[in-house]
Amino acid sequence: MIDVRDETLVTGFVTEGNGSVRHNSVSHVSNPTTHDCFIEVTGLTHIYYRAKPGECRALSGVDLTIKKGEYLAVVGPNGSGKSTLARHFNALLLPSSGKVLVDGLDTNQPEHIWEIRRRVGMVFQNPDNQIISSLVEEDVAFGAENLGLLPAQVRARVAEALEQTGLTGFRLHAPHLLSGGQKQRLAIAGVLAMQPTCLVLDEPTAMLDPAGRRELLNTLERLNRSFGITVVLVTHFMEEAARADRVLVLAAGKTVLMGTPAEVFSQDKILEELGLELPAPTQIARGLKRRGFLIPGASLTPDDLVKAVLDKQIGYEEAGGRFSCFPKGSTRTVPLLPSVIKVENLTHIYAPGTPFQVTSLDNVSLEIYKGEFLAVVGATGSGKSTLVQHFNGLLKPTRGKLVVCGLDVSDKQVSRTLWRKVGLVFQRPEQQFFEETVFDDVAFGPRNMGLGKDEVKERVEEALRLAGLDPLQVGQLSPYRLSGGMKRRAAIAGVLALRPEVLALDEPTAGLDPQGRRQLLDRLENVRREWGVTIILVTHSMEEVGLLAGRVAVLNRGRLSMVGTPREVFSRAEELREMGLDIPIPAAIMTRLQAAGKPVRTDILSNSEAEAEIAKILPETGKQGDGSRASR
Amino acid sequence: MFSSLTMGQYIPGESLLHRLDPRTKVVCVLVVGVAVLVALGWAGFVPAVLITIAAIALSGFSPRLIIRGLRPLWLILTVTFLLQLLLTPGEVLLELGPLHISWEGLEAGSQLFLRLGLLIFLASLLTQTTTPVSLTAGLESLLAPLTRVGVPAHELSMMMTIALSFIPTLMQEADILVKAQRSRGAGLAGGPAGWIKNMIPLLVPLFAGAMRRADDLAIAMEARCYRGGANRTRIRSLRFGPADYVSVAVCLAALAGTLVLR
Repeated sequence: MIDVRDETLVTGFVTEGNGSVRHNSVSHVSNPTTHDCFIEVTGLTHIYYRAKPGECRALSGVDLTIKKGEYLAVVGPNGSGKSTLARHFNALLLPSSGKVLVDGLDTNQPEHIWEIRRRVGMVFQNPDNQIISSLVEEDVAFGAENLGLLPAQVRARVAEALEQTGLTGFRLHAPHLLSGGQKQRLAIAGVLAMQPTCLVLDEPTAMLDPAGRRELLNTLERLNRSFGITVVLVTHFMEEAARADRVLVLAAGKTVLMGTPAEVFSQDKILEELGLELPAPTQIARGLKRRGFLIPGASLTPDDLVKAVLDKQIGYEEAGGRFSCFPKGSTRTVPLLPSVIKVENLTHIYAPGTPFQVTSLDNVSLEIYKGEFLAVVGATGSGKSTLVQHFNGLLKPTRGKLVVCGLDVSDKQVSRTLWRKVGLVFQRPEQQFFEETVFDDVAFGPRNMGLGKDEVKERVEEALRLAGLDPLQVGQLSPYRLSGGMKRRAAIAGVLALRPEVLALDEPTAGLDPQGRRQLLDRLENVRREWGVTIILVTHSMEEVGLLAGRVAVLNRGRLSMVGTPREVFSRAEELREMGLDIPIPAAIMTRLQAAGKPVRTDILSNSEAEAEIAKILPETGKQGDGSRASR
Repeated sequence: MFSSLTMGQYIPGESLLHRLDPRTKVVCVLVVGVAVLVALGWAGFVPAVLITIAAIALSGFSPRLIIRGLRPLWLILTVTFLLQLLLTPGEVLLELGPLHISWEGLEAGSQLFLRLGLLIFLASLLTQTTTPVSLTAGLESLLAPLTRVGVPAHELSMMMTIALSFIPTLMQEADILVKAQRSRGAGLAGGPAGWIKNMIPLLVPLFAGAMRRADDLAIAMEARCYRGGANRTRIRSLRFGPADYVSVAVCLAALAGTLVLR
């Protein structure tokens, strides 16, 4: 199977970006057997008619074969055509040119559409937007009902689908009360009730917490292995893609790479050029190879890497400072600075006195220091958003005391002006645009502060620049014309323009591609260093916490269960998992190595630290004299 | 800002009222509703009041819960009562400056209060004990004969289902938008012009969001083979049981009783 592209071809395509280079030697040419082939895409081009200028060709000339029972991951930067491609698999979109055959049925023929949609089920990114009924059982039944099955058959299939997704106990629950991971499993159950051959999932984990992601991925793997269901997973997370049988990399509507995860993730240069990244274990293994160690295999998952390291059953030298192991970044130490927010015994109860009463925060005490980078983590519904909404006076404590920037929040005068001091960025802030131009939208806050025209202009331009956007370039554009990552940063600029003393952000990187995430986080750290702003980051990504935060606060069911440096907190992996959280992948790898009896530290936060720590236990004999073998 | 207890929201349960066929409940509400509207004199209300009390007892809800769910309507009820009380001419009972309270006014006001109150109770009991989906299934089935004269029964009921399940989501979204824009200092301009100005940052993204959701949902429905009402079945086929026949009979009897007592 020819899977890895010639590098010159790819580079040529990335820079020139026109259709002059044909890429149809991918996989089906060398594998034309049709009996086990389930979806066959030939020369697929898709053109959106009402598209933004310059973006009309979402797919151009994609060739692809998906085998029955295969697990395929589709990755690519935002706007690369992943979702468009996914929607061709069940005839939600029809080819502008080219052909899509599903189980031998042509999506272009209207009489096949319903059979194709029955065989290829689809799950979307936002769990709330695909729920039809207000009862779990009825929602699962929706698809089966549309097939015109007898009620008894529908009931049997619903029961089976709930069983397969582990939701049997929730049959009579209201879907909007389920957690994010449960909602996505509900969406899968709704598809399974139609007894499909294939499941297509479009970024299903983008809005989930670590436990939700684990649940969902395990469910997918079980369906694929035990029930032989073909799975197509569109994702921004390379760790998820690494668990698939094959990975397809799309960019600008074209196939760039296609092959097993090992093959695809060996092309680090190409991936980097596209703004994608390698899975964390692969990155660590590459680093070790660069240091001259021979790590066999591709090390796609933590298990692979741990196994590869343990397989070197040769004695190790006592770890004796062969490598300096931790970069002592001075910015990461907890500053002994005055507190900027002081929370004392804060309790918040929603809808008190109704049957829907919920205690969202329960006796939380926390001190946040000036200029620090604090991460707030916790499973969905643990009270993270509720907590940060107290910081700028949007919510009032039911009980307890809150002092922000030296002011007592219980004073009404104070809570009304707190927005000038504490900037709060909500989830998906780009959905809150309302002005015609980026400039006007960012200027909304400064204008509400009653600033003069010149000062407003100065602040808007400063905020846009801090967010990594050129005010001259984007200022007069409509916010909807920006790309995903830029849109997000423009929305954050709207809060930066207030020049807040504290900046709290609720999952600012959700739904962005790896490059978008990196750029955004870089900008945040930059703002903190330049302005001395205190940053409070609410996130589901433990890797972000490990890379950026000075301290972490862990919320569990409304209670503050841990506060400390990331190293301290992540050393309690078991407790975190019980709370629906996780530890960063490099830390998980080290924990496993330690469990296997290796004398390594487990309080590891980044790939490079893990690399250095593993290097300590690898025998000198494993080192390769000539770099050529190791770098393969 | 937005109470999490929406009026008439479905409250899960396993009571007799929950288990009745949705068509039965719709028909009963209509029949008793007519009885409430045609009742004359205090005696005329007796059958409808008895039925309502029985229904509340059979719903398994505490009366407090039901009353709390109706909170937004107390104002309307009170205003209509006061208007009737003050504006009905007749034998003056009490005189407070320019206001006259007559015996007739008191009676008309109380009866209107009772009439509206009963209708609201019945309607909210219907939606509190029936999931939106089975309610619309019931309506669709009841309206089915009208499809022959061009009434799009299925489409109407599907629209209702979706509207109902979208309400909580849109409320949440509005809540977040209000908070997000307030975090940037919105809502400080005063006066009517200021009020309109304050609504733009809320309404523009709210509409955009609703459109996006509608779009997403339409695609999700199509992906699950939805193509209108043709060929569609239901997980629970609607079937009348003994309890349904009894309920309808009792309600018809109540209507007859009301007509006799006029």
